[in-house]
Amino acid sequence: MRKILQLALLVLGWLVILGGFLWAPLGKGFLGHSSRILFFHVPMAWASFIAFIAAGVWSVRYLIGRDEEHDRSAAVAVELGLLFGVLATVTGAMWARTMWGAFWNWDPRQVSIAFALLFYAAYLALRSSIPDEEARRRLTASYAVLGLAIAPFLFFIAPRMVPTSLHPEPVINAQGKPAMESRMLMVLIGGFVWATALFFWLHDLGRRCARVVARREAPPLPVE
Amino acid sequence: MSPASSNWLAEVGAVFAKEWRAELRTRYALNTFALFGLTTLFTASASLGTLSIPLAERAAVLPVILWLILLFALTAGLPRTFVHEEETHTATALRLAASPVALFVGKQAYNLVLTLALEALVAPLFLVLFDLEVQNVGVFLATLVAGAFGLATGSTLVAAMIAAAQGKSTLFAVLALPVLLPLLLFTVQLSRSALTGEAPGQALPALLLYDASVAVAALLLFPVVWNP
Amino acid sequence: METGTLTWVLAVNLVIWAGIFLFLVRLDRKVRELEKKS
Repeated sequence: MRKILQLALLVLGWLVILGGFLWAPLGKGFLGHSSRILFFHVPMAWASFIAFIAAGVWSVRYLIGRDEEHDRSAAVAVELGLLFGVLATVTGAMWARTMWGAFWNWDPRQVSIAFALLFYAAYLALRSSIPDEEARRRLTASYAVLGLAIAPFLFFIAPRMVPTSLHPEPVINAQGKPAMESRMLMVLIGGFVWATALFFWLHDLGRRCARVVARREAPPLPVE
Repeated sequence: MSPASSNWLAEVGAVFAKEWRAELRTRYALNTFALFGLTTLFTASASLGTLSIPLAERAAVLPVILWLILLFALTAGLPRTFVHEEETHTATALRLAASPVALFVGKQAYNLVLTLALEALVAPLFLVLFDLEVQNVGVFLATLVAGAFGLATGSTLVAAMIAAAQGKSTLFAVLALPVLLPLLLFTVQLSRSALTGEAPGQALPALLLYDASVAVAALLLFPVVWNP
Repeated sequence: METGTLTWVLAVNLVIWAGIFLFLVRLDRKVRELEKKS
């Protein structure tokens, strides 16, 4: 079963790449082929978003149940969120260079993602500087929950303060309808599934690696 | 007033008074604030003041300098809030003596007063040295007070988090900046509109909402952060 | 953009994804072995 799912993911990835480059038409109002990066940029931004949400949820669960496993899950989710976030930022900057003429324009979206990456990089810095394990788990989880409290300001309120964002409308626009050609939309949905599945696979792997390492480093049981 | 709530208020007051007694003994935070605020302000005004930038552009550009000076002065002075307790091994006594919420409110109030003192020193000098005129005094004062509240609340919680960590002072800046950055966006925009006389728009409600949600998150999280 | 360039980018992408995939499958297997051992 696991093998089949993995193979399906391989094929799905190939299909998204092929579809994105050959099958989907070019977006209207985009220079050259620049709209093709959408099929990679948007799913990665999505994956980093669910990773950060997942990190918050696991941190809350750690604080409630104090289960080490939840703490490991949260930490791995933050690392993956940073990975996908950096990829989304880089692909976004490449696209911005083509469309807007500069890699970095302080578009509200770029501001939000830059601050989010700073925050979670700080999370990892905190994690690596607390020697006591129990304190490390408790404090990093609290910091992640604090992040949940300020995230709405970064993602919803601060971008609204600047009236002019050049960033294309989110996939589902204000009318609640996808404003996109149907072939593009199908490839993009494939991309979402791909990125989401990849996130959960990577997360499972990362969590299990961390567990194996933790078990190895655990002190041997005291001899009576 | 019920006895329970008067006890609670008494605890808050005791923590607040203890902080001031300790501060006035060394004047560590006040000295840091004064020296850091003055040196950075003089450096900025010495290098920018000679450029003779037109007033309208000064009012639009300079608020960010005011808030960066305030932010970094705070990161130099406030981390001691809880680090001090761990270093002098008084943390355990505090855990026994005061309820976590009372302790947080007391420390936060102390930090708020310190922040307001810093602002009272830096903000007028900033206006004088850069030859700026506040068009909308109400907005300017509201920004300073609401900004101080958010800065003090966020800093107090982060200070409690780093008390158990190594490399405390650098870590404080690393952890506090991403938390305080949204606040900075709002306060900079508000100070700009106070200086230029533009309508402040949505920034003031956004700032107040930020203050409220950081305060709620801090009150919920502090007992977890403080009690092992 | 020429079709040739696009084909190159496409091919490189396909290969990179296959490489990442193989790496992950091997990692998956390795982790499972380690889990059995400990």
